[in-house]
Amino acid sequence: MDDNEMKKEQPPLWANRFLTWFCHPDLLPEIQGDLQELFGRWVQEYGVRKARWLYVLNIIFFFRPFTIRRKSFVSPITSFIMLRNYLLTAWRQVQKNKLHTAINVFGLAIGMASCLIISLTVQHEFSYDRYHSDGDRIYRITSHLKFADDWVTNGGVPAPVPLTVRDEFTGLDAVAAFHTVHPTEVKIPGSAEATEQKRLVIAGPDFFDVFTDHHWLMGNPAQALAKPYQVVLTESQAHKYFGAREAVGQTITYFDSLDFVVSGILADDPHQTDLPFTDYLSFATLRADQTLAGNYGLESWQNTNSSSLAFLKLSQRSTPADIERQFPALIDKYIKQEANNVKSKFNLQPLSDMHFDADYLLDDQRIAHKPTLYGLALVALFLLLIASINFINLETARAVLRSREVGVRKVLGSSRGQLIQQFLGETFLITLLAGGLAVLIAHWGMDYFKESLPPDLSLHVLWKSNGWLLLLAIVGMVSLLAGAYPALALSSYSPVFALKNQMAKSSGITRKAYLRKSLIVFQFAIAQAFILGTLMVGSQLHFLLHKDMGFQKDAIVHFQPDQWWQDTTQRRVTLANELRNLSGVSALSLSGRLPASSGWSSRTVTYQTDTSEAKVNIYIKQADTSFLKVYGIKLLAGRNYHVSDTLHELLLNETAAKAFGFEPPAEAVGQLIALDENRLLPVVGVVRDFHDGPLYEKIHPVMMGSEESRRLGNFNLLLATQGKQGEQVEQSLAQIEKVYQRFYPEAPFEYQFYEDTIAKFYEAEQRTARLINVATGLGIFISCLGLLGLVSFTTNQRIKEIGIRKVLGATVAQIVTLFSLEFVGLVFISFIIAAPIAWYLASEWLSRFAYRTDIGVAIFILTVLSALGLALLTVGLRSWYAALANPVDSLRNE
Amino acid sequence: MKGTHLGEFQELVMLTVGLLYDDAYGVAIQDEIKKQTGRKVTLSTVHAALNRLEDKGLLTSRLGGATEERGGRPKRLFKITAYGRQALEQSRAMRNRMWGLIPKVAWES
Repeated sequence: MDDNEMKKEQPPLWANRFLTWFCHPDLLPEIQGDLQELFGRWVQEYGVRKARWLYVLNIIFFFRPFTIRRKSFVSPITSFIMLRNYLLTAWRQVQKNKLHTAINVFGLAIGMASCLIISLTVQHEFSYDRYHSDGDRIYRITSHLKFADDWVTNGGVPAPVPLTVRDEFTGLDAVAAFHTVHPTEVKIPGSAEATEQKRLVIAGPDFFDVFTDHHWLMGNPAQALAKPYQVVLTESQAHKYFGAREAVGQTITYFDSLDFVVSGILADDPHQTDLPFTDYLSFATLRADQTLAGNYGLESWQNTNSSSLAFLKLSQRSTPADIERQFPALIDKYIKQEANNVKSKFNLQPLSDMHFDADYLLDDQRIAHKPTLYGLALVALFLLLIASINFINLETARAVLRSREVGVRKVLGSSRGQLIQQFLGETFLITLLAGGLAVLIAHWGMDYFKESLPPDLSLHVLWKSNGWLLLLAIVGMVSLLAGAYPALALSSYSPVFALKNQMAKSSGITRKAYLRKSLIVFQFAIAQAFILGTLMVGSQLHFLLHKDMGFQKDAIVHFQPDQWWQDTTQRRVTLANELRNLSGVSALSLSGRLPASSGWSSRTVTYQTDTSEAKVNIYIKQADTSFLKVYGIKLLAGRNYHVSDTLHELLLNETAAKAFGFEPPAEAVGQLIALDENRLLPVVGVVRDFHDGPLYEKIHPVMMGSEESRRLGNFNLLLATQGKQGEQVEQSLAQIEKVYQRFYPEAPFEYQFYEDTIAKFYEAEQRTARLINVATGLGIFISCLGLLGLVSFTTNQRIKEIGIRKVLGATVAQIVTLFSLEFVGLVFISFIIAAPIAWYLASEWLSRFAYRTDIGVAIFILTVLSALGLALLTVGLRSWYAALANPVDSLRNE
Repeated sequence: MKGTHLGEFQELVMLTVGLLYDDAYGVAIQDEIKKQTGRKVTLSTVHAALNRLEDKGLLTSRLGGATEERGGRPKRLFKITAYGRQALEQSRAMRNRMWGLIPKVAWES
């Protein structure tokens, strides 16, 4: 039997090692013996392969409570005494290296503060309406309406929908129909002044069938909301109205003149919710009071209002699709679609989406943007990582100084485990300190970033309930992240080398320090990726906001009268004429849509010659004849269309003309385009291309034409002035508002500058830009802080070298260069790592824009230069300071 | 009764220890259980039971019998204690008593 065969018949070594590792030493020999005996038998019986397999399997079976090694016994008194010693050592370390400690604490604190703010934000946004029992079965009915050619979404439904759904649909446990109430005056008898209340709702007992978690302090839903003119208040609202007095039975006047009797009290809801009502007026009131009911169109199937809400609780077995399938029948039966040219669709939205879906806003609701939240979490993680790297770098750099301590401790009987505990403990203390500071910084930061944060977010959650656990979790995580490597490295020193003071030579820790260098590279790679991101997002944003759209957008104000589609055409036309006469308005156009809009409508039209046929999906912009004048859209050929009550003549843009095959585009003038089989319309002119939507998409083929005024709801006004501010602009707007109020006294004048509307297309991009700016600033700051600490350490270590160099004639500049060059290389390496990653991410991000800036070389050069500049500034200043020192001081004593 | 109560498998292991007399260690017990009852049990299960029974004071053990085939490692040889014997006897007495109490009629249906 040769060696090889011998080896083959041995059980697997690693399995044995595993057994030795976990097994209690007292039990080990017998178990190993038994297994060995069996192994020999298995080899005979099944062959080596299977025997080895069985051996491993059996060892795994032995991994049981009775075999597992117990901790070796250390007297609790010993650990207690050692604890004192550890604390003392830690305190001495802090005192000895004030700068390092300060840098560590401060860097970690900033990282943790941003992590704290961000995790609170994320936690807060994801906590909305997550607390309801059976919340996963609660859905909201949302409406999709097709006006003219495009779909509009609405979070409300026609008021009869939920009532009918309750009667006719299957698969539902409960249906809640309720109406939110516009802010309204509320008067308490006996008090002089009325107060405005915002969170009113008209709801019946059914509300509490869907949302079952409300706690009733007085009354119950069945009796408290059954009758007309009853109102249920939350506890704090009752206290606001009546103070310490008994609220139940009191009368409150809502809507100027309607008296409601308080019939129940609800406990305040401590949770985050988008349905934070304080006054529940009984639904039965709507049946009793015709005037009030009129506001909510209880019988109207045609009126969709975002204040009329319908929530469903599905039964255990049904799926949303089961419910959605039943809507078409309901629409056919009740909603006479043809009557007003509106098409309806209903969908179900899960309750958990309500806080994130911008398509179905509740009145006054603030929603959150999920991708931004994920981005935030990532940023927090990176900042924390950079701060932890600082810590690791400084600790490992200083490790040499503590190697002798490690040696002495080991000689005196410390186990490696104890040392690891000690160092981790020290890290924990530092981190705890940083955590305290982080709370302060977070407090200040939340004030500073108030506008980007949820309004009802505050640090108080930290002290409430289990909030402090979050803080502790962050501290614990950071201590492990930052402390694990230094603790492992320090505790691994062999006492012999450590005590002979040969650490520097034997481990190469000071000189080569590959780990530290690669961590710096990593850190600066993150920082530079952030810088690149900032520059790219910034330049794209600038491009989006300042690109020539092909039409004029300065000094243009636009508005839509409230609910204009239900209004008479005459009112709008007269208003338009009166506005035209104002001195502050130099031109006005009524249009269906704005030149660049996020909504659109399109249809397929045909151009036919004897030989060929071109079908083009064309986007439609309808307006009166002054549209081109208001927006300064250039006519390239032909003429503008004439006034007409139906679509009679067409203007095409260049893209459309080319799509039909006219080259040059001007040739399209005079040709006939078929809208459908019956309508052939002449092209009377071609306009220069303008952007017909956000720059995400290419310019579409567009046709423009006159349309009956019934379908035109947008007022586009070119002011006689320039810009958005100034006295004259204010005056013009005041003029316009005055005229508007004469025509629409019931609705406020809500106008927008077109520039702002266009800027609003890119809200998400602006949010991204803001976020990445802050992240960049913090990332660079923490990285430089770490660099500063490291450089001051190495200069201290090499203070004698500096002295000798100076004595031998080196200039300050030479010394500074010597120290800086090392870091120049590191910055370049990190740039090489960061650039492709940032470039890839940025081009991914840019790829959603059809029109974008070029990622030029300039951006990359700027990035590397600024990173280099910052690094050199940090390193240079510190080493310059060291190089200035008199060599006598450093060389006098050995 | 508590403390002397034996589980079914524990009783089986104790009986096996008894009948193996001076050669009752892990592998041998595993083999014997298979021979006597046809039950396949893993070695770790046997060890776990032996450990437990020794903790309870029903078995006692000594180390011995290191052989070549065991890689020079000793066997742990088990023996039933007086207390263990008492527990076994109690268990058997209880069974016998209950067997005797079953009326004949019960077997005839």
